[in-house]
Amino acid sequence: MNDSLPAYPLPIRVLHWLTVILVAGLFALAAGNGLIAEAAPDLGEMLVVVHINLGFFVFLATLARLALRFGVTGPGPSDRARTSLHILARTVHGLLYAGLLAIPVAGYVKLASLGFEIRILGTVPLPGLPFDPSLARVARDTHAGVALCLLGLVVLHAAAAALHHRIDGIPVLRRMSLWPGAGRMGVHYTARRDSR
Amino acid sequence: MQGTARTPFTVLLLFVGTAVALWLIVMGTHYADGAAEIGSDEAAATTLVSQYGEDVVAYATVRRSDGTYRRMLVSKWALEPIAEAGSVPEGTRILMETYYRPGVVSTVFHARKSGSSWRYGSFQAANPDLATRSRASCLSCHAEAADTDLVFTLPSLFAFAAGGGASDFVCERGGRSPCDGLVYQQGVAQ
Repeated sequence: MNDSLPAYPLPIRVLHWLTVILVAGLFALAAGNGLIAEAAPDLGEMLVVVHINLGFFVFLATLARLALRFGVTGPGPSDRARTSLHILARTVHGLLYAGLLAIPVAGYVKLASLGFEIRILGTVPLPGLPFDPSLARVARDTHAGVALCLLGLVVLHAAAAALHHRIDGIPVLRRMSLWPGAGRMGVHYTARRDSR
Repeated sequence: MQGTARTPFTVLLLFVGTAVALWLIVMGTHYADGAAEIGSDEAAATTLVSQYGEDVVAYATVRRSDGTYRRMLVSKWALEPIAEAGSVPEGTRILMETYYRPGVVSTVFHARKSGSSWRYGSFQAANPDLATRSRASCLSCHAEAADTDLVFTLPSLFAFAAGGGASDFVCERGGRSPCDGLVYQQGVAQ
């Protein structure tokens, strides 16, 4: 384990914050469609089409993050955090990845099994599926249910990071930061701990 | 470094706050669920409507707890095939008029049976436009009616085609959220 908490590799940090932005956009688009679809159906449809495209890119970004996570050596957890917290953190991270993959797949199955042709960026068609309303309903429930679970996990993940950073004094936020100097935070953390 | 440490923390707080707010908005549209019979009025009457470019008849009115209601209409020609076959034939058109004030039609949503699935469209009542296309926003919601040919009010339609009266019932969910399938079953005109 590494107590100096070096930063994650830049590609992982970029993909992390890209995912944050995309997921926030996805929830905003879904909520926006719910609010305006009756008054402005065409605008609602446009929001859904953008939602579909962003979801596809979340799926790709998550695959890339998993590939990087297994292929690139990242920083280990802090020695100051308890083992039980390490296990909890790994579990939450695993569930987050699972959710980020499952939700776009469920959304795709929901629409494709009702005969809707999904075209990424309006050009690249995704494969169709046999017409199956029952499968579509299961996929719809999965899409919505897992999305709500993901929201809860995101809150838990963010709260835990903030808790470690602010209360425990472990600068976990900085190692995922995109700002210059993030890679030197181990020096700052060590100095801060020694000064206590 | 204090400044750079605070910035991601603020971003996280903003994100969490936004996510929670959105969740509350979404969940706020899914409150109480249930059905209740209410007295019928002119909106629920069996009416032939021709101003949309096709002869359609009203077979159901679904009311919301906020005072709005939707009147459901179906192609007149399709009633006999529906009664005979117990299924909706290709080409059938279903329209849903939305009323935010009694007697004043707002957006009209419509669907046309195409193969096994449905194609959707919408227009403002003053400018009828029966063009349809496959719409993700419509299919996403109608997937919940998988057992009833993607039509929430299919029980009312079948009852009407079989000679029953027009249905008139309440779906107590807010906005456009569909009710549980049982509500549409219980709402069928006896």
